[in-house]
Order: sequence, then structure tokens, then C-alpha cells
Amino acid sequence: MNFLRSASTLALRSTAGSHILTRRAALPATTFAVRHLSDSTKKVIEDAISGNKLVVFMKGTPRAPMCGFSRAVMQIFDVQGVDMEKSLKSFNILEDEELRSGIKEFSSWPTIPQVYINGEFVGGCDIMVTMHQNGELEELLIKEGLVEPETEAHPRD
Amino acid sequence: MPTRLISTSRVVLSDIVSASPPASLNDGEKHLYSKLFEKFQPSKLVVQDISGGCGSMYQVEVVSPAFKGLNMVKQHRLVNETLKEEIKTMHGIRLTTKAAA
Repeated sequence: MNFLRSASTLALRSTAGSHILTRRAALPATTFAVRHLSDSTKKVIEDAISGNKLVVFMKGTPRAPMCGFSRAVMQIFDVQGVDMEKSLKSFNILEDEELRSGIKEFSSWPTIPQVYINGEFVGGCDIMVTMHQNGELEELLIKEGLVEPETEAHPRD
Repeated sequence: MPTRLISTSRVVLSDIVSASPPASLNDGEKHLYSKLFEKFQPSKLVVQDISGGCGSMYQVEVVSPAFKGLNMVKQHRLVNETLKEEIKTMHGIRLTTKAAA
């Protein structure tokens, strides 16, 4: 039943969606911005990303992710050699409904997980995977001191 | 010689993106395809339902001149904005974007 419902919802939105979009577009951006994101949630997010080099808003926890996308991001950080206990601050958005909608609005990003490095939104799962593959992530993690450069990782002879 | 002919025609075909969604797509895929085509005039567009049946997860690939000069976050933001209402009903979307050469 569940899949039937979401499939038909999607189909219906092709007609209903255009009205919604038109109406939203007519409103000033700030009207939308104050709708879900409370000052207290905004402060939680701002404090987290300014006080920690690496912050991930995810489903589940680093040790027990509850979604394949969140799991993939944790695996990438693990492979990169990030000390998860020490260097990674994570929020389980499944335990906080306000944070769940709030972070989407704060980042203007519709999906979870979301990764912040040094206070800046870096991307979701797909961007992490791409950056992991093309070497940009390693570069960024080294630059921010979240991992040791490869050559210095081994003790000198 | 025939081999060369075939490979040439393949290259040409893959560069043409049809304005109407391929007939093989399901309704959800067609809907996303049409919206993305209209917005981005892509040189490559792939929309695939990867949910296994419930229609709540999609894989989307867009190559478009509209992405020129934009970093990945900005490219994804454009797609996210275009599919804003649809994404709300999804569990996830796997997105690949690239600026057309």
C-alpha cells in the first residue's frame, strides 16, 4: 500500500506542484526562512558548525547509521582516516524532528546527510562520494587538520 | 569499416537528448525527466527509479551547459530547487551533475 501511495502522490504533484511553486516564488525569501527554523535550533546549528571542524547531520549515529546514504558518508570518513571519536561531531536528526526540518532549511538542502567542514556546507552523500573519488576530500581534510598527510603518517626510520 | 560506422553513430545518438521522456520510463521517472529537461536543456539526462518499486528513490544524472562555472554544491542546488516538491516525498535521490563541455 505504501508504495502505491507514494507513486500516486508523485504523479499528482506534476499538476499540483506548479501552483505551489508559483505561490512560493511570490513570497519574499525571508517569509519562508522563518517558517520552520526556530531561533533556538538555528543557534544549535550555528554553535555546532562554528565550534567543530567536522559536523555531520545524519540518520543514526556514526557507529550505527540508519540510512545507506549516512552510512556511506561514515565509511568515507573512516577510509580517509578521520578519528571519528575525536574529530567528528554528529547529530542524529531522527531523534530531533525540529533539527530534521531545521537543518534542511538552514543549508537550503533537502536531504540528509549533510556535512559541514570548518563552518561551511560541503555537501551531501553524492558530493562526498565524488570528492572522495577525485581526491578533493583528502585535500580538504588534510588542510583542515582532520587527517594527517600520508607521508607523515608513518614514523621516520 | 562497419565498426567505425557504428561507433560514430553511437556517439551522435548519445549526444541527442529527447525532449519527450523515453517510453521505457515509469510515470515517476517521466515526470522528473520532463521537469529536468525543460529547466536544464541537458546534453545528457538519465532518470532512474532505484527504489525497487515504491518510487521513493531515484538516480538522476544531468549534464548541462547551465552548470558551467558552478561548483558541485551550486549545481546540485539548482537540481534540488527544480525538484523541490518531488524530493520532499522521496526517501533519497542520488544525483550526479556535470557542466556540458
